Amino acid sequence: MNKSRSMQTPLAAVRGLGSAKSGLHHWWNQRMTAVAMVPLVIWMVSLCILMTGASYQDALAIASHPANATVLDALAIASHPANATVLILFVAVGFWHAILGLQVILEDYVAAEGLRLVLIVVIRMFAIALAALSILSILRVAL
Amino acid sequence: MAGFLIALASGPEAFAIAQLCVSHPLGQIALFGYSLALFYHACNGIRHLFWDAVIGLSIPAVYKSGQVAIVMALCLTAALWSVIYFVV
Repeated sequence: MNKSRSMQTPLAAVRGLGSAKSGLHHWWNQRMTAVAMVPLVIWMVSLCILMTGASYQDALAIASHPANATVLDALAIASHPANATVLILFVAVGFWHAILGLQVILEDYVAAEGLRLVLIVVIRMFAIALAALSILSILRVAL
Repeated sequence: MAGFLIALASGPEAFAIAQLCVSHPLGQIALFGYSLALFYHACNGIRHLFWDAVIGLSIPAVYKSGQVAIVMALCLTAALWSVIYFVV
């Protein structure tokens, strides 16, 4: 391309080139969901410990309301009203973080552009569907 | 986890099946592996967050934090399963 004769602006010349389809947005979201996942994972692991060996009623109670509590210990009862909220946040932020992370892996390692796009979209749809199903389940138990 | 939540919302029968799955030896092995992967990912993720904050970028520090992440992940996994099997 003869630069001196081209009427094309530098921006137009580079548009569509390179891997970055957007600026810092994706990277920043990845970091922020990572930061959010730290307390959520700690809470979730604690919740999982409480859930081990829990009966159906206990598990329902842990995930829903203090009034249903039967043989739960103090920690479970104290954390009750917030548990459903944390579950929803964990699912939402977790799947978001996973979508972003898997997208980066695909962008780095899948060379074929068509396949890459298909995989990114399929993973995104699958993750959103699973997240929606999980959140619906949590709401059904909690409300 | 999504399966467990869906089972919980679906009723006692589905929940019983989910409980059978996670309490079966194969389910326990899968959960153990998942917890190890989760803790390692979390520890290494925190390591990356420190790097993003321009902390610990020298080569010795990078090796050191890598070892710390692995040890932390193993300790957290051991602690989790000790609590599950011996405390709860």
